[in-house]
Amino acid sequence: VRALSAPSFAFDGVVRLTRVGVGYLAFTLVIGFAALNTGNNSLYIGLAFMLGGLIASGVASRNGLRDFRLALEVPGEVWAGMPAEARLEMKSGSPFWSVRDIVVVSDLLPQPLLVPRIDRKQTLVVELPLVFPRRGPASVQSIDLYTRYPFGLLLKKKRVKLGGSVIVYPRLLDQTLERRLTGSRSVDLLPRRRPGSGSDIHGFREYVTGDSLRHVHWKKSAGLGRWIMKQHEEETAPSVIVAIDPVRPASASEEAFEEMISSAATLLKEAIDDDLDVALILPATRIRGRGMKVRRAIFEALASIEAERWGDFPLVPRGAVLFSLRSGHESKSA
Amino acid sequence: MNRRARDLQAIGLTAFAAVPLYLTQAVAPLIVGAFHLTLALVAFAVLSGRGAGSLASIGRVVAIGYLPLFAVDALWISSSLIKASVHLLFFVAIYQILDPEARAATRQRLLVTFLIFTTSIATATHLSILLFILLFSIAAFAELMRLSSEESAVSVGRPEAAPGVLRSALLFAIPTILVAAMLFPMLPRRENPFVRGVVRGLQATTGISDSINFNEDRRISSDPSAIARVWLPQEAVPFFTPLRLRAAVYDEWEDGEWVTGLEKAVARVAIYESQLATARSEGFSFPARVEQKAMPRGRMLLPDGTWAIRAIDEVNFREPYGLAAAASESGQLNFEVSISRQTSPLLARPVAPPRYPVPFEIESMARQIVGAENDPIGQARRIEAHLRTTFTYLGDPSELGRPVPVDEFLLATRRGHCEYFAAGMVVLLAALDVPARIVGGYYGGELNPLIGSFVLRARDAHAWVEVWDGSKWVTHDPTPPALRPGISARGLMRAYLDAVRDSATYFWDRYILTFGRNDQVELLMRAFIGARESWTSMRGRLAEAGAVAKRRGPAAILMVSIAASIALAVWMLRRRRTSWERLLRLLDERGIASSQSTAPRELLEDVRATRPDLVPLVEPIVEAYVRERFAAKPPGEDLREAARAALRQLQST
Repeated sequence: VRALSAPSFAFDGVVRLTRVGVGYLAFTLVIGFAALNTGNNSLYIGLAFMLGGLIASGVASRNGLRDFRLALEVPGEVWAGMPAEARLEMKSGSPFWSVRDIVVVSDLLPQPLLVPRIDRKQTLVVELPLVFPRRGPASVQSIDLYTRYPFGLLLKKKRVKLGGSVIVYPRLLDQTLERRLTGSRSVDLLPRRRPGSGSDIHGFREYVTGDSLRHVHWKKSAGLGRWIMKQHEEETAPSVIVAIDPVRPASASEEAFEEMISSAATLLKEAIDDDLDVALILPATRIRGRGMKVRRAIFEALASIEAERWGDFPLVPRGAVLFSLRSGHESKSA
Repeated sequence: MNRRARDLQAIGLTAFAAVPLYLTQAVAPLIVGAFHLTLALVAFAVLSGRGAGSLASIGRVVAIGYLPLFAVDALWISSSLIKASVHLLFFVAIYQILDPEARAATRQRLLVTFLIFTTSIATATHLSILLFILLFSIAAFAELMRLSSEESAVSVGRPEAAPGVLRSALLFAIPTILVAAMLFPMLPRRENPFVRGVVRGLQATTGISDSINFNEDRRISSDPSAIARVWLPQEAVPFFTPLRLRAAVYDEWEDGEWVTGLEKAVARVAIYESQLATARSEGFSFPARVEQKAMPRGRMLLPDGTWAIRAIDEVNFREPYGLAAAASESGQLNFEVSISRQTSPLLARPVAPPRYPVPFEIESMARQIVGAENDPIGQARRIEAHLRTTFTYLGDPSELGRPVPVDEFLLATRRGHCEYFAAGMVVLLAALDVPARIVGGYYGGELNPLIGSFVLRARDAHAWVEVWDGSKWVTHDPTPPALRPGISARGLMRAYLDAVRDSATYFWDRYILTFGRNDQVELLMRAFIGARESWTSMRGRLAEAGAVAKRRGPAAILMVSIAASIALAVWMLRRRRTSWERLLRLLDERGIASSQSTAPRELLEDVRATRPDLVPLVEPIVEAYVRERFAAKPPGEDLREAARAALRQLQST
């Protein structure tokens, strides 16, 4: 997941006068009229103070936000529909203004976030629980900062444009739904012991022509009076093989396709978390491995997979879990 | 900040907004006191944790109950719409404080507090109002900031706002004051009000009356309010101090009191940009400037020895008995005069002694004092010396215990204040058929060395005598000099502090309180003249420089051309650092050293190990560099741009 950062500011300005601001302005006008009418310099002093407060307020809120630098970083995995642990670094470059009551607003934030205070020249990191609605490449185009600071007369806004992008992994299903779709825990369907080229003995068998003498179990052969061949066990952990058929028939909805991807992702995540070997088979890609090595590759592949209108039915190896929306193949084990 | 502290702060701000009303008395102090007492009780209730909610209904009933009485109050009780409005504001403010729900409605509460604040400052003329405005601004800013924080917190669903706004409010007061100070002289001023009848001039107490009646109680004012300031040229000070400002002349005895005669002989004289002669000057003459803050009985205060007036629009001419002029809107009168040690009337005319019924005993007394002296001025000097040495001055007229006529003063009590001394001398001279008159005005004054003016105060009111010598009036003062008002001995520190205080008051009066459209025009003119002079000066220097260049033209042009060429060549031939070199320098500044043998990827690994936060910035630069230097295909424009952006960001990090 890449960090997002770029201090590019697109829009500044007064959003609106607040109710307090309207009252303040009206009151200033009243004092102004009274001062003008009476020529009373005490009232002129009051008027000058009111206008001074208004100007100081405008300058403070504008300059306080103007020198802001933002950097958004999403250090962990980002799953669709789940709060991402994003970190927003807010740096005030202003040598004068400390800003209070900054409200951070984004489409990806479930609710606005209040930053109570940032002192001048201070850098503050706040946790930003961004929620991306869909899997796939995504970007936080901008973040809006609002403030009523200092006197609440004006509600000012600064839109901070951000560059970069993140890959949003598919939405994860809860266990119940995942099991309903796959029938049972997928790893239970797979054989755990297989003959292979490991060092442990998996079993014994009769000699057949062509067998290498290296595999003769001499003790048993001597005991039984015939050639007994030992069979070694494959040195691999139990694995989960997931095959995805990206074809979405016209009868299947987009939601069904996304749910299928989510189901596959949930199964794979569970397997990877259990430290099992996993394999993902896509029409153009095969990813196989274990642990963190393949985690990123698998979920990025799942994040970027797109529905196709047609295509060949994938060759599914024995023991693999096939996810397909074609008739009769919905989420079943081959 | 908890609820109780917030409530106390709100009560405190509302109470503070009304404090100046005690001084300005725009509302009866008793009412302001009752208002503050009520707020204090509510504050006590809040402080003790009992709350004031139970009293809210009473407050509501009283506030609503006053509404129909508002018109009655405005028309008959206080007879003032403004006073009645302030009363209404007090009721509303008390209700808002009493009712917890209304108390929580900060916006409405602040509005009422601001309105009370406005009435407080609108009626204030004293310098201390500045301090009040400053303190109120800080408190109001703190309240506004707290409200702002609360609204921000509510907008994101948080119950509590960030604490600690007082320090921020204090900091905001400084730029606000600076901006206000710049704005104040620029705010537009109109000559005539939109709505007439609201303007009220300055008020000050004076010791000047229309007549002197010794059958009435007399009081000496202790009011320190400045009546006038007089600027004298340095060289004139020895000849014209202690200063005497003439306000009124009492030259006739009528119905038992001394009055100003010849009132019907007032001539109205208008002058424009020329000076009005009031007397003939004899001997050397000096200019003097007078800023008259108060108009005692509408009279101008003229320094003794004034023979001409200028720089004033319109004067009602009453010479030799007094001059009256219309004060400006601010109540102040500024004018310049010419003063001379000796003056004589413009028109020679016979002057008769006052028609005072002199008793035989006083006539005998007068003749006894003057002895064989025949000259009127010589007689006046003897009487003056007699009164100074054998009579007792009383600073407080109430010590007499009862009204004492002048005859009794001269014959029996021999004690009194300056008016007794002056009237006694006039009576004694009248007994000798010497024309004399009492002059009322101000005497002495304090020199303020910081602004170079003499300030005369209401408490410096004094009376003295003018004696007709046959051709002119000569000033005499029978009051013992050391006991006259306006004469006080002060220590150096006290004098210095008084001067500082008076200067502050002067600047407040002159440049704040009475600042008007004419001052704005003057300010503008000064700025314009200053700019024009600067431009003229700069143009002159440029012309001078041009002339020098013309004289040394070819050589100068050659030198400048050579210098410019060298600078251009150096700039063009300078070796520009590559992005990679800039990256190495930036990393070096951040503690990541590298050498010529450091491979790009190796450098990236170093960054990853020591400053992982910089990896996102360094990575695209390294990638672009590697592709540029070692790959078959150069990096694309996207990668180049990303590297440039990363480098810029690294520089600013």
